[in-house]
Amino acid sequence: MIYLQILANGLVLGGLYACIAVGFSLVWGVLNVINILHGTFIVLGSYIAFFAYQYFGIHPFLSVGIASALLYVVGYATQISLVNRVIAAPVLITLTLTFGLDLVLNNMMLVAFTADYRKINLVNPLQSIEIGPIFLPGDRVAAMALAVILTLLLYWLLRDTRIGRAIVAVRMDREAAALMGVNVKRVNAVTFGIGALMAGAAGALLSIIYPISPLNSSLFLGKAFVVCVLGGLGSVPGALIGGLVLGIVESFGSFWFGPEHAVTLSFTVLLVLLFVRPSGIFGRKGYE
Amino acid sequence: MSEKYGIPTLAATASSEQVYDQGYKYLFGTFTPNQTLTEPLADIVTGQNKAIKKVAILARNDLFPLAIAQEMEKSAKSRGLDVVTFERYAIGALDHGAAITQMRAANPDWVFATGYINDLILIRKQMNDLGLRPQIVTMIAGPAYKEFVDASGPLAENVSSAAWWHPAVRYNGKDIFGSTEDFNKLWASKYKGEADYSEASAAAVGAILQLAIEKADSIDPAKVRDALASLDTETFFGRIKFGPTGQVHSLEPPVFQIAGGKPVVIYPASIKQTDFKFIAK
Repeated sequence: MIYLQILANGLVLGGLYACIAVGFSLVWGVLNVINILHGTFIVLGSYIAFFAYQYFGIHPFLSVGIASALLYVVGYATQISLVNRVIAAPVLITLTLTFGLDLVLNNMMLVAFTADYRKINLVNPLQSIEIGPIFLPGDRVAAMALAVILTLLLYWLLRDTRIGRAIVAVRMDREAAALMGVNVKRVNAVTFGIGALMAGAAGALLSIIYPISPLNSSLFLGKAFVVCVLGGLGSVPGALIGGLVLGIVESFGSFWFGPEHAVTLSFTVLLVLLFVRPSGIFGRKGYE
Repeated sequence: MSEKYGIPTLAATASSEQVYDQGYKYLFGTFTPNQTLTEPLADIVTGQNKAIKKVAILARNDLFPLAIAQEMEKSAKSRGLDVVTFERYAIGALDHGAAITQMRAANPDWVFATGYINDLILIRKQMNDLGLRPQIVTMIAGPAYKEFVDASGPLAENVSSAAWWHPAVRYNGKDIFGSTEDFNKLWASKYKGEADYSEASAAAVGAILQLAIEKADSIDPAKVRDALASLDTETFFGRIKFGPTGQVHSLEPPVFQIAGGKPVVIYPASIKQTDFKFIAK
């Protein structure tokens, strides 16, 4: 029965990892930009939820909308004003730019919010769901469910809306998309904005689970990297599956080999996958 | 660098004996060895209830958190307690579900977890989420900080811990601060709130350096080093006398527990504010 609990832990953790990674994957896959800012965007989303709850009593799940909207604006403005200037440059240039921007934003948060860890303590916290001997943490399950809904919404947006098809077209062939009348510059900004939006949503959801501090951004970014490579760049279902795979591998790895080896094991799986299937589980050229 | 250039270093927050047993002559530290925290903790727990038999230990795989967890293991075993699990987690771990599930399966009476504030906030929450509810939860070094209590909310209640200093201790010293009470007042007026043990220790090393310079009547590094080595004085931080390795051996670190959202001292008897309490089921 203990294995069922370990599996449940892994699935719930995997859902959170998917939530962390999906926006990062989209930006990397579509724009070929490794957005180092992503972890900091997640933390910013957490702070928005934290202060919304502390000062206005807004439940973090409702703050998902606020954090998403604000981060979309931040992401869109960052792309159009800064990233877009080097969008055609080699990936190292955009990586360096977002790395620099991350240092600036992260340090601004350190000055504004300090490095102190904070956490939302809900007046009515969600209780764990007990199914026999299996405990499912209520807040993690709810956060995972919301994350899956957001991910499916993003999937729908990319498949069935005009802007989504434009994003897919740009991802497949930037020049051809431009020739077909797609405003590539705007699509790039919207894509970066959606990536930041997903980070903001993830941050708001994670604010009831993890302590909040600017120091967490690199932890989230590291997980996003692994999930993206596991699932396949730019693939929304890939981020979801990659997150779940990572969560389950870490959970069982911790159980069998000890928690200190969980990360080693997940990176070993990653290395094996890179040898066997370098494009990731769902990696492919387009979204179709 | 201290050894190379012969300049004394006062380490404000290093307790692991491995830091001091390298044969250094110029290194001094204001934290007593880790077992001075775990021994009284184990005494208090075993003295309270003989039915406490099983201990589960979860340690961050890092110098101090691992070293103090290993000391706890020794303190527990030497009192006949059964250490049912001893797990280490990686630095930066975002999940402790598997370790907590294993601990729950072992049904411990006492959980001893080490790490820093972020780790311990997450561990305390996941313990509750996954139904691990032992009679005693001890955590080092988070509960000494207000952030832990604020972030953990009701889950912080009755979590026990130990540290090298606490604002409730009362010492009269010959240092610049004079007494613990005066230090607390000065701290409150400058920074608001109360100093934690690391902040107090950082202030203490400055005061100790001044006393050593005065004793040496010189700022010559070698003379100051010798003055430090032979120093035996009272400060607001407690009695300061460094052992042969440079680590202080003269302090009696307080054990405390969170009660009503605040740390209250349960040991030593001279400054005890309340009796030890078990975690409510």
